[in-house]
Amino acid sequence: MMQLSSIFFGTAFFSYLAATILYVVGLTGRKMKAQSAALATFWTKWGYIVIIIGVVTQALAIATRGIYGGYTPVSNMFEYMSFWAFTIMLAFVIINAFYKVPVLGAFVAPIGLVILAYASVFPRDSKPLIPALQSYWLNIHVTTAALGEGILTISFAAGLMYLLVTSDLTKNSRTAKFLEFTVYLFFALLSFVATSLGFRAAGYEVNLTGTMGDLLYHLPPFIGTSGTELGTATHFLGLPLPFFDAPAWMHAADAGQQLNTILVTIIASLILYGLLRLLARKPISMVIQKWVRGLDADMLDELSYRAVAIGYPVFTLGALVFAMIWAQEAWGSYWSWDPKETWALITWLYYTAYLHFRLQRGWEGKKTAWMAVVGFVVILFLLVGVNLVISGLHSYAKA
Amino acid sequence: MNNGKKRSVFDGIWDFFASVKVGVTIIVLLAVGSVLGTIYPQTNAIPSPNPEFYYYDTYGKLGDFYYRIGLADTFNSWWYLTLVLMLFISLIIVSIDRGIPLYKSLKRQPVARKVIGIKGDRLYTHVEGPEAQVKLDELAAKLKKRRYKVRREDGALMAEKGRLARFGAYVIHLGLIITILGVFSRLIPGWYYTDMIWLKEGETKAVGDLGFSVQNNGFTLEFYDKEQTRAKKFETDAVVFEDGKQTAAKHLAVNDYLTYKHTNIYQNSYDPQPMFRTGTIELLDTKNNNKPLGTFVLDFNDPKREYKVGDYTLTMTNYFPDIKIDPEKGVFTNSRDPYNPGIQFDITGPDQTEPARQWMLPLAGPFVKQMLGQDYRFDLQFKDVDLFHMTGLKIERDLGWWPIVFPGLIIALYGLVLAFYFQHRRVWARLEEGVLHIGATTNKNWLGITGELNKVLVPLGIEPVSQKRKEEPQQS
Repeated sequence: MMQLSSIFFGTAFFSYLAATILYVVGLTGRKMKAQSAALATFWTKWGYIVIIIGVVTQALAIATRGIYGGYTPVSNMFEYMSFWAFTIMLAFVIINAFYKVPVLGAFVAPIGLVILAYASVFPRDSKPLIPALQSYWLNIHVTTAALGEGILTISFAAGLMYLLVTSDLTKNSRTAKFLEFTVYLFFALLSFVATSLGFRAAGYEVNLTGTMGDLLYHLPPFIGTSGTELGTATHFLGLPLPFFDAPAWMHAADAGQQLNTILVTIIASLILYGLLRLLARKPISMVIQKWVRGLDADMLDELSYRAVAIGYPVFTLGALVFAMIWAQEAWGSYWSWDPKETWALITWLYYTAYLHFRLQRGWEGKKTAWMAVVGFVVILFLLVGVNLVISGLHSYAKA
Repeated sequence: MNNGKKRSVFDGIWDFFASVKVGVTIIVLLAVGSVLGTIYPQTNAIPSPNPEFYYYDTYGKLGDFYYRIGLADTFNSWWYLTLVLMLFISLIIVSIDRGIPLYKSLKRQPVARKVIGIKGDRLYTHVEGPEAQVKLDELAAKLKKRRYKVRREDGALMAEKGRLARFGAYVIHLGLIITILGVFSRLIPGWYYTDMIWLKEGETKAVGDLGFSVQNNGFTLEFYDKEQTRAKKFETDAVVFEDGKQTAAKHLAVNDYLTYKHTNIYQNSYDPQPMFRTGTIELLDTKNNNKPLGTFVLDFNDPKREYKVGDYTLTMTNYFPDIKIDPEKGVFTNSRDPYNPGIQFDITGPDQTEPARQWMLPLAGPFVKQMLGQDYRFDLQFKDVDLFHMTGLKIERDLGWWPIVFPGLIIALYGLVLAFYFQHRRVWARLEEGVLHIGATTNKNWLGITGELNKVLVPLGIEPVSQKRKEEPQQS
């Protein structure tokens, strides 16, 4: 059953990859060869079909994994992140059926794909549930919250597209810089996934012995933590390790590794970004802007808002109300200011502010589009940052 | 509020809190404040009773600074609670300031609207001819079928549905007001009680001054793996006593609690470090090739002064249930529970002129032998040992949850559904000079109302409506 799940999972992954390629080719093709507009719709139509195939196979992957493990597979980082990718794609499939904006797929598909790839950085084995998670509220709370986050991700994609359509990137404005930085962040995430999976695939392993116990680390430890022995990893490509130690004020036991991962990611992403930049000979956002030129900006703005309007109640229900009911059932306290809880509240407050700006103060267009883009960063921190940086009641999801 | 008179302080405060700008500022400040509160764990979540040292020891100077400026207790700080209170006031005032005028204006809607107004609606159509009156009646019937509330006046019609959707935002506000009230109901004496009790097997403890006590009648712990890293379940057979009588009992598991007199008893945790209950100990003669001399059973919670093993007598001269050996403080016990027992015996027997004084340290034995380098006359070995874990039960009484907080959340959710998934739709029709004018408005989803109206109009032979302008403000 687990093997079957892996096959479905792999199929979904390659479907999303194929869909990404189809959409991007469809868009760039339309611009490059003006005469082949029919061909472009052909590509994006197939992109949509392939995404649907991906969503269906991922649903099967989740179902079979659930049957194998005996619980809805949303209990650790791998399961949760891949489930989030699933809800993003699902939300896109449904929203596109109503709004018919195939170009949206060219943005959503790569986002979902990278998040799915990011999920595979985490250990993939199915572990039985600890007592706190043995509740049907696990299924209800986590899946609803993920669905809300998936729909809100669509608002990010539409908001980003809106900004690309309406901004003049030839001028060296703040908007241009921030948009380019947003694009860079995407490559940073991509680089993190690529380096993590790359070193792991190459079998690179370091046994770090520290005060907090042993740790198997898959990246070269350029930065050391005091009190941690580097074990077998004394050299990398002939250079002695570590280059330097983590600053003393970073007391956390795994500060060295975290800092190291960030360093490796930044270096890799700068190389990747630099190469692309060299190839394009201009900011990457300008390249992407070409894809969306001519799209109806008002429609994108409306779409971005609609996604928040649909996703916000779902998020409230899943991430706050269901979570509170479960917390009351399991711990007797519906609220305990656990970091994850607090960040769910922060995310909620953020989108509450968004809605008030939009509905009461009449903010439209660029301002709310930026809010939708930043909202994605907030969600990303809620889902990833809190688990990796701050520990709390949800820390079991770390592995 | 402002009718030319001099504005009072009350008006000033009212206007301040009625401002959406102020409301959103409070929301943003709460969000920023909450972010600050997640940088380091809050004092209620640290595994130490001494926060003044904990933050420095664990997070260094930054951690110490964090603690000193009060961020380690953000969510109970005066400024955070003030913000929540301000949000609460803002929710009430905004809702009254806007909700009541909206209610009044919707209540006073005229059935017969001026034709010029109807003509200006985003959705408009008209029908001419002698059958116009008949069409008006048919239209009323059809709209009624679609569950519109239809009001008629001579030659005029007003149909409306989903009026409540306009109040969605205020229903959300109401739900949040109730929720916040529920949260603060904890301040009412007797409404909120929280405690954590640790029980050994068989032990009974009184729960605060709630008038009852809880007993641990047995604790079970199971792991998924041999290495005991991943707990499968931990459960307690709990019994409640009041006035010496057993009044309730339940096999407690995580996510499955016991309710007694509005107080919930939860299986919360267990002490991962086991304690010694009893041990069957064998006395060995080290002088004689570790020859077994016999066994005795030691109850670590209630050790006896003397044990007889064959011809030998073991007299307990010292008992430390949780022994610690410190170069400065000497030998002492860390707690009264047998986590790490240390027993000193005087052993006398037929072949001895004076008693052999020696330690028995089940957990630190080899270490102590090495350190002290003592050549013990006897050796004491466990043949069998019975360990147990202490269960951690959480006692929570929160009288505000079911009757206040929970309904508040449901109301807020209902408001969200109203505000985001339902629409207020209004249709006006007026017969004037032989022409029937039909106009319609909604607060959102123009596509939906256009489709719905045309389903009504087309069978009546009336020209379908179409949207005049593409963009219009969302809320009216």
